[in-house]
Amino acid sequence: MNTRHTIVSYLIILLILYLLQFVLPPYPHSLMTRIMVFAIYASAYNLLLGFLGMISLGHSMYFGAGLYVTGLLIINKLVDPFSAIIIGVFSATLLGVATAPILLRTRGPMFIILTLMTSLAFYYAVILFNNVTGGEQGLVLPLERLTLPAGKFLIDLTSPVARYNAALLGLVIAMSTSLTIYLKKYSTLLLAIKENEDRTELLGYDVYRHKLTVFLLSSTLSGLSGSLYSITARYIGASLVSVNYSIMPLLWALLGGQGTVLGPLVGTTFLTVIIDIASSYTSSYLIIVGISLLALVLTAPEGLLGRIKTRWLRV
Amino acid sequence: MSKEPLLQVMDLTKKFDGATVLEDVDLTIAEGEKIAVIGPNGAGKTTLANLIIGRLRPTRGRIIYMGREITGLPPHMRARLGISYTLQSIGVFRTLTIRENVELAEKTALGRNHRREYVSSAIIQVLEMAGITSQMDRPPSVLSPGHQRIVEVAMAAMTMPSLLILDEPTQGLGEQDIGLINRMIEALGDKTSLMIIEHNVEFVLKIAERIVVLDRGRILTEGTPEEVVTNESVQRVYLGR
Amino acid sequence: MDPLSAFFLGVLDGLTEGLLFALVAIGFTLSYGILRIVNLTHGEFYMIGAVMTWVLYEAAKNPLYSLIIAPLFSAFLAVIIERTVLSRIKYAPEPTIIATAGLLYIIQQSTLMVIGPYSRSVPPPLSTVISTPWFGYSSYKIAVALASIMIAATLWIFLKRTNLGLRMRCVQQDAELAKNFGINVRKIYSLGFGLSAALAAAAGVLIVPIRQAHYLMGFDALLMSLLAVTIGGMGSLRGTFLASVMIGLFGGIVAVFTSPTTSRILSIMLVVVVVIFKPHGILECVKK
Repeated sequence: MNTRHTIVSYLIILLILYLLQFVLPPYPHSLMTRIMVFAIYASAYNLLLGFLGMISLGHSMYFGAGLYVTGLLIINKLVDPFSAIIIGVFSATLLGVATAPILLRTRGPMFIILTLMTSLAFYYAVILFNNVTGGEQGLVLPLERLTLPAGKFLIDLTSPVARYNAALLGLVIAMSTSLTIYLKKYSTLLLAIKENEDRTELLGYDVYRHKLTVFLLSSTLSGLSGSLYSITARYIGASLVSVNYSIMPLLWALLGGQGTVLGPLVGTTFLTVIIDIASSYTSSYLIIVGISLLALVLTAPEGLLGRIKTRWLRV
Repeated sequence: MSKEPLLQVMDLTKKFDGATVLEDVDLTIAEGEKIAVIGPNGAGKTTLANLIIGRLRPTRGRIIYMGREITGLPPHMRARLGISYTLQSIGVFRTLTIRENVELAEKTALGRNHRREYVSSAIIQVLEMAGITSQMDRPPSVLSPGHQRIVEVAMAAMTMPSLLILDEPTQGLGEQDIGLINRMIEALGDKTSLMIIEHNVEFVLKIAERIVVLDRGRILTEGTPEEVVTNESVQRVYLGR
Repeated sequence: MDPLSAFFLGVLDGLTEGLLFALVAIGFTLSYGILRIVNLTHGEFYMIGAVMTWVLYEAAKNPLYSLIIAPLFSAFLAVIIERTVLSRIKYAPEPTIIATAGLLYIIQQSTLMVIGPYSRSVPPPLSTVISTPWFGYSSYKIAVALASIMIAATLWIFLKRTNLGLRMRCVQQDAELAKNFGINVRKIYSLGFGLSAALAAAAGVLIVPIRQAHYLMGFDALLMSLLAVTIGGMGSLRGTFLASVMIGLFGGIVAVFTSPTTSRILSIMLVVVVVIFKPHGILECVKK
């Protein structure tokens, strides 16, 4: 395995992302910010999918925890943006801790179904309490609350520069997590668990604890994505925690699936751009999601998913 | 000088939905002792192993290991205490390289370092003899099933167990590979206890100091290889096929 | 309305809804039992049934035909999906979930493109009201409940008494073994999947006069199926049917005193609690 190769390509990509902000015109610039925020979510999702082979259809719950907690704290003028993000991320972790005992005791189809059900409950709860959350219509974050004091300066979080770099920073955190797991060979143990939990346990490994660790990392980072989304998009709304936003990260991760650390970013970029283009032509742009999922699964019947179930090409 | 046995199984009983698979089994294994468990298909041999390793919970009975009650412990804790198990089907991880497989097993041996260097190199030597060490960075699928089985036994051995349970390790293996399995067992030294479940009576007679015969969930008899082979009821039930 | 009447109303509504969704849920569990797949597209067949009913009503003013046409169309569509997509991915669990998720969006969004985002209604064929001392109850809803029971009963008889039904049950028990007995497993897979879609579509047809057709309505049906199957046991027809009725009852009563949204949340939580204590379903009889 080529550690240096991997780290170097990773750093190059990050550098490119950083430099991009100086050359992109305004619309692509903000699109890129959104892509990076979603790529955090995709990376988080990929921890469970790629390393452990678990398909969750309920991650919108953790994304939503970060989104709503951070967003509502800012809207209701309760704390400064930085604390709002921290608290938002933490609440996603807490939600992960609360749901893990139920979800992680199941496998296969039942896991998928339970994750779907629990995230639907979250969605309905958001709708139910719409006097607080704004329901489907959603709420906009006020401009004046989005400044961060830093020494003598005031960082304006609504400026494109701040948003871009906040998203980039979040992405660095997310991708570094995957990279660390991979470099520290923790991924070997996880792949063994993915292939055969039983046998891994017989070797003496506490499989539940490792699944829990990855699960909590995944939910926490999903929350980070949600938090950053509320700030960079200045909007929170129920559509962001619908089933669609549980299926999107699956698609992002699958699309880019060949890399370890970079796959989610690639998939997210590709699909977000396509959807962006499509949505200017039709309101049924989600059909692209459907076609992509179907095409992915068909072009490599056991293949693409088979490859995810086996190992990744080392990027 | 009677030392406390390494493993003590008492009144072990297992029922599935009314069917009694194992009943009132008492078994003792001393430190360093090598026993074999034989019996016709369905006798309950694998069930017994699964109960000892913790994949199944007994309906009744207790399991004492190194003086402590492990009846309620989950499998990974029992493995950490030194019980290793290879299943009937070949259990190497196909999505990892051979090296990764072996390293995965090695990592859990932490804390049992006192014999580690010695045993570990002896195990690697056997792998060398099989010609496996030249392919450590390939996936196990490049090996023959026999060699895969050898890797699997090597992995179990790498965890430096105090009790190694092998479930039909020689099934489908040729002479040469069986010999290698034998060497692997020898590499563990005489401080490691062994419980081997087998149909291959020849192999068993060479390795085991004591043989336990199971039939329909109960212990039919036990004794030294000579005693068991000449036992009439054993011949009727099992050997005299 | 006094609480007691409200309660009875909730019970009746809940029963009706539970019975109707039981048809959908049975369809879902049928495709799991026979093909061993989790079919996320299932809710969309229900939606197709509803939408086709509206289309046929607008076109021919006679929605009764849709009770035959819509299920047939859905079955046909299902068989195409099974032949082209599902068999290609060899019914592998995870690819199937992803593929059916993709199909969900394709069908849903295509419908959006055709009929638009608005709810479409159809007047009920029976508009009489049956009056009880407490309230008047729509005779159509009662007809729907009865129809659901009849359809479920017909399915039961079909599976238990006919040759084809027998073959389906064999495949459900053990596809490998069934193949050795000369049963054309591929054909049974197609028929089974088509039948499951037809059931969902039939439910969709029945519900339009009560609920209206909308391109997103499939989600709800899918959720109800999942809830029923989780409690009732994957692959168990009896368990799923009972579970669906129970969940419907529960939801109906809760909805009367709170709101449909709260009822959904509580139904989900109820199921999660049950799963914690009884992971294999209340009837513990998974047809393996």
